[in-house]
Amino acid sequence: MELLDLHISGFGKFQDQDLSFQDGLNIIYGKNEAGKSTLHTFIRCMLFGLERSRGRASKNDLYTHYKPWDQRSPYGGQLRVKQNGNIYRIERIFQKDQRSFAIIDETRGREVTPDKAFLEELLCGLTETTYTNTVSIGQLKSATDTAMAAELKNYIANMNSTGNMALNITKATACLQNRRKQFERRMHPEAAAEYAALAHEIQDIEQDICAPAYQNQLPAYESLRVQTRRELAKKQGEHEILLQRISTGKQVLAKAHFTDQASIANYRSMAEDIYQNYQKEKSLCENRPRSVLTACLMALAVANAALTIFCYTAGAANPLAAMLGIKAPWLLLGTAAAAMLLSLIVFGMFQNTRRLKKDLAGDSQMLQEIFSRHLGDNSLSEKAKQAFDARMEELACLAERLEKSEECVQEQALKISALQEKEKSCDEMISRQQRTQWELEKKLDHLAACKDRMEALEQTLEENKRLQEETAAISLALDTLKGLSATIRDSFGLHLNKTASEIIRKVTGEAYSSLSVDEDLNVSINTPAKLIPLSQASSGTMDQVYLALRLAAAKLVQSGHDKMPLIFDDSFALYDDERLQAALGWLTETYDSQILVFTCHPREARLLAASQIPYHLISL
Amino acid sequence: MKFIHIADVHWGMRPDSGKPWARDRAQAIKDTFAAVISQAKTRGADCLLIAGDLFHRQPLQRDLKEVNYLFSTIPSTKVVLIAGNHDRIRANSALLSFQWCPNVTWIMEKSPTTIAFPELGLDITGFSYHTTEILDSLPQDLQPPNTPRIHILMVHGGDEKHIPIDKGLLSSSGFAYTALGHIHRPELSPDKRWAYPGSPEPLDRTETGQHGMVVGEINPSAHQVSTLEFIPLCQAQYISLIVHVTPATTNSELYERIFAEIQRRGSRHIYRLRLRGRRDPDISFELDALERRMQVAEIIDETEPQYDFGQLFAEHSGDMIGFYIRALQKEEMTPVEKKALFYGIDALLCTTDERS
Repeated sequence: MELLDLHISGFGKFQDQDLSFQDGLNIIYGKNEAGKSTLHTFIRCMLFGLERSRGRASKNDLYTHYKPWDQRSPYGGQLRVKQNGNIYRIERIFQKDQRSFAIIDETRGREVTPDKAFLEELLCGLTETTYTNTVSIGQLKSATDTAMAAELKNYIANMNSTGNMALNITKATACLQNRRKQFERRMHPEAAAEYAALAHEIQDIEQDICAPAYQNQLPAYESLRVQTRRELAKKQGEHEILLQRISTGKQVLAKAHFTDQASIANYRSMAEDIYQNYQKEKSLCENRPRSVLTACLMALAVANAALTIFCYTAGAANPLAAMLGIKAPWLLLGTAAAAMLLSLIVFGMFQNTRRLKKDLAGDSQMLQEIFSRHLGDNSLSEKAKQAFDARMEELACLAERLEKSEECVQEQALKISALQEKEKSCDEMISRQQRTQWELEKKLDHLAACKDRMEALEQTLEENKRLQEETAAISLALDTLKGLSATIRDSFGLHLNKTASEIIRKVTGEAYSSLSVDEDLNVSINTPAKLIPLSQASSGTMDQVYLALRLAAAKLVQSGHDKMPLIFDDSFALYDDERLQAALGWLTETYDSQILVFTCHPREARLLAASQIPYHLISL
Repeated sequence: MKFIHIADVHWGMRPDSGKPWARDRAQAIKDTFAAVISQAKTRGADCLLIAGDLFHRQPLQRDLKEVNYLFSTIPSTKVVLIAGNHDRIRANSALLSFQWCPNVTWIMEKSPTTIAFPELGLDITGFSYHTTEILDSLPQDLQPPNTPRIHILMVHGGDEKHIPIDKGLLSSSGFAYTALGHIHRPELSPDKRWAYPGSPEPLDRTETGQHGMVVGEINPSAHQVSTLEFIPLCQAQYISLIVHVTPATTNSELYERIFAEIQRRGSRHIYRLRLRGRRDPDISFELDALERRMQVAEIIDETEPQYDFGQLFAEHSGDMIGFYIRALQKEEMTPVEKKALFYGIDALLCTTDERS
């Protein structure tokens, strides 16, 4: 493509400005502030359009920056270009409310639809980005600058990253990484660990509660307790009855003033003695001959007493004595003595009888008391005695039974306390069981909470899995991009190397045969003899290499036969005259399309004239 | 003899844990169970069969008390239960020492055991789980006792790890009716010989459709099920909706469409949405508001951006986009590859808009 001329209706400081270019080298000369950059930008905007940025960015964007100073002039203009032998007029108005864009084919005299394919052909396949990165060249770095090598490396890196500069792989990669980060932020990386920990805890709890200690033995203990209680109640009932019986028996005994078997036996033998005495005395008392004897003896004693008195009164003249042949005093003495003796006997006998009677009375009274107490009847008889004996026998039996019962009661008490002990232990076991059950329920509660949490986590894990699929997809996209860019770099780099090598060979007059860029983007220059790292090359060579690479890139990115014009915007400001002359020389030689050089120095024109290189000068 | 048959109540379960309505779901399980009990009262059911998994986990004393209270409100209905795999009987179960009210019979035995209810002219045979799994199917020779009563069998299982069941055998068994449990989706045999009542409330988002109980009647003389029907009781259903989008679909349009559909079907239900179709590459669907305002458990976005890869490839045959499409596009792509393609193209196209 060749730029023919342009008309600026209004763009920055320019209004109604016309400018024509020619084939080959054009030097656009203007002092500072003459509007070189404006012109440069105008060409770019005519080719690629000028959109207004949105929002805040619009304050300092190109659109605002190059608004016509004179508000009345329309913001835009025309650019005539020649492409493949046809002349096209590009008309654009950038004004936001009356934006327009038209391309007129002047050769055929009709308007062309500016569709994508047509534009691509017209612009030699360049996008705005590739345009700015290749054919439009800003200020070239000073060769003396030590950062030149690094700058060059950086340029190659950008250049190499993709054929189409508009597809900024670095940005796309950053964008993808950002999206992946967003997904990752929504993930819960701790969920898996927590899930595992919970699973472990649940397993532990489940194992724990399976322990025999937690077995529910309440029914067993409860039935044991019921059984024990039943037994205990039965025993206690029996015990009660026995105790009652004992106390009644004891009352009976106490009523009879007995305490135990021995007391009954004693009492009984005492009563027996009394009864025996009573019987004896009674039979003695009832012995009548004894009283006759007493009466006889009494009569005899009385007779004797009377005889004694008679004898006394008769004195010596006692016929009886005579009769008996005994002297009267002796008789008197004899009778008196007899009378005395007899009365003594009778007295004694009387005394005896009286004592007997008294004893009898005493015994019978005692017997009566005994009988009346135990039989309720005080009559003394053999029958009563038998009844008494029977009664005593009965009481003795009772006492014996009582003793046995008491032994029995003691035994029972032991058994009862054993049962009570058993019941108590049952109670204890049951309350212990209840406690363990309570503990178990606590654990089960916790287990349920764990399981609920785990279920919730399952959802989280599922969500994580879904997010992971997204991140995996993005990772795959990133890997693919990386792999592709490497492939492209390799192939593009190869082409770049090849083209740049050709240029460098031409530029250096075969001093250097080629240059090569390695994987780390280190540039080396090949001489026929050896490989020289760029950093060791002279600064002049570095400039040449840099330009050579840019030119190579510019050639590579353009499609079709016609090439875009090469535009230098104050690019050689830092070059000295010698180097500038050399550069301009080989530029015109190597690039066979139009070249525009914007400069603020008159030296370019001077040097070109000196080297007899044809050029077209445009002064602003 | 009227009966109500339920199973898999999963009392104590908390479905949709983490969702705002999780508590409501947990309560709904209890409420619907209580509704079954009151149905037993109003319908005058002679017996209530609960074929396992009444409890979601090993029941605690307090769970048993709650349930027992409900049973005590229907003293004239015989309640017969077996334990399923979830509430299986363990050595430490509170169940072992629990005192049920008189109308409740829990068949705790490991092997088939018959309980007679002479007043109903009914024999119920069943057994409980004591292990997590029972791999053996029902004994071939399982026959009801030789009594002139109605015979019902209760079994919890039906998958390969929980008593594999040959339903054909059930239809030809000596039991008038087999009350099944374990499968959460209701299924009634056409010959009325057996039924899965399903869980009274759906328990997770895969359990779509109606849930409730089975009500039936057995003719006391013929010993045959005369009626058997499914009665829906659940408070909410899980509903899966597939929403088709086009490149013209916008966020607000989609929101309104789904919102209206949910309103039409009932906002008490819980929804799973699956978005399908091709969307405008510039639009990504964000339906957070829908998730906040409706009971939406899950939105699965399976939509694909409407890229014309042919056109894109033609335009970008010589650059990264072209290379990228060529590198990834192929027949039968995995979802990840498809997504990678979309993500990459999206990122690459994004950068073209930017000027340097």
